[in-house]
Amino acid sequence: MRRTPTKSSSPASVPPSEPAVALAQYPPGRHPVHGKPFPFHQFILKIASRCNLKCNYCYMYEMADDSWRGQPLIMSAETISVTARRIADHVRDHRLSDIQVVLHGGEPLLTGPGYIDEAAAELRDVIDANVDLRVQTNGTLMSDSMLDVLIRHDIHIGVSLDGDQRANDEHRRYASGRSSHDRVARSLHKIRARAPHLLAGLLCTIDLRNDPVGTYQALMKLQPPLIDFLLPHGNWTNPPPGRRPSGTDAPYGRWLAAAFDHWYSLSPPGGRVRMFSEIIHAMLGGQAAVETLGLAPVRLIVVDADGTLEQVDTLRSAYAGAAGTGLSVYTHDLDTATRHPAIMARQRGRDGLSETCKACALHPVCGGGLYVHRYKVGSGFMNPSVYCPDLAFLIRHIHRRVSQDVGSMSRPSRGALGTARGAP
Amino acid sequence: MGEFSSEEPGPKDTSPLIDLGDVSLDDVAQIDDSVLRHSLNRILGDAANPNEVVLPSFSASV
Repeated sequence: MRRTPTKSSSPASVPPSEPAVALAQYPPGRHPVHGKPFPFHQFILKIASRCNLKCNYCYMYEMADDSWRGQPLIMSAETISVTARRIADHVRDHRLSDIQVVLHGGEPLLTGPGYIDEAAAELRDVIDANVDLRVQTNGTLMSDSMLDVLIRHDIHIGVSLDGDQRANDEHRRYASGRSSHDRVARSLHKIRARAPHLLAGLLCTIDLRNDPVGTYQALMKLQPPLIDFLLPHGNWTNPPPGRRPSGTDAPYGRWLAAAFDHWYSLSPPGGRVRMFSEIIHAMLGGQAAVETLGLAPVRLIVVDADGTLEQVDTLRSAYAGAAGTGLSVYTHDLDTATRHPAIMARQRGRDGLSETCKACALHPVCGGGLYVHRYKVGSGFMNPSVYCPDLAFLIRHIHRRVSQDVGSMSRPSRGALGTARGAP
Repeated sequence: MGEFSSEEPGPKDTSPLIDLGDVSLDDVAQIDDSVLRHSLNRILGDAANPNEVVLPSFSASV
């Protein structure tokens, strides 16, 4: 195995487009808590910079950052190769036994089956670890030959779908306005028929106009092993639909609570809803295994189509350049990226939260919410989530249900949230 | 390697919001197949090895 030849030990630089106020909280060169960063375990490769759908809520193409325009249409074979070697170096240097690599976009299946075949082969060949290889797709391009490749390389498949056709058509259409729902449903049936073990789950972005239970039931008709409800991206400066930044109402919390009540009452259980199961797990003292919740350090890095290294790309929804690091796989190793102040800022756990969040009893569960939802012009990311009232409503709702049931098993549950300070 | 953390990440300095007391896996086996049973099995079964991979929040970009 070759070591990537273009190592650099230069400190992480900062792209000039980031507002100074957002960077002021990131003193460069030092980890604020541990003094030591965590190595990456997850690597998101943006192998396609374009998409064949035009979803009107997409953070890539419809929000603050239009840097995709300067990206190559697809990640070149050379960039794939350099990236694979960088990951291999990182795996070896940190003795990582298991990692996850996600082929992402844009729409990654736009690259075609031959491209995916070669990229997967290279990644598996070069990286000396158990590689959980995944693709996150809109599900419209699942040809038989594409599925052949995904099966051959044991690539798990996540599909984005917002519910039944009416719900999905609210946002997820082709540029022509044509619905994408039927093609996605056909793809899901094809996956279930030929490789049900590869279907990782469905991602559903919440629209308050859709019925929460109906949405869950529509998704479950497609028999996914997991559903991920996502809150639409927004922040204090550019709030999400239906979310008044200064309001204490909780429209998303109520929507999710209705879905939770249905899901929680199913016996035997239906498909797992990751947000709900992770909230329960965190309440019981576990570590939420998702970026949107909990206090665990974020250990992922994004490689854009031209090889530049980014923080998680959802940050693009905050402001232009928010995800940038100024680093590239061509000039920097991944250890350098772990020391980037903005990446370290998301590994700080409780110490990375605002004072408001630290004072709230719910913070071990919500973790302050998704990082990008905390952004506000003037104060950067050191704020509660713009969804704070919604998260608090949902967590309290789930806490009531679960603590009551746990208490009824034998001894009274001693968990109580009634005196939480700072919680809405 | 020395400059990287070898600690497994996790909430070590906070108490659970729901205290299970002395609920055991045997207790859990007595309840109906449900979300609650799965959740309790997960936390009690994973207690010795709580580290789990933190998954990114994928977006609606695809």
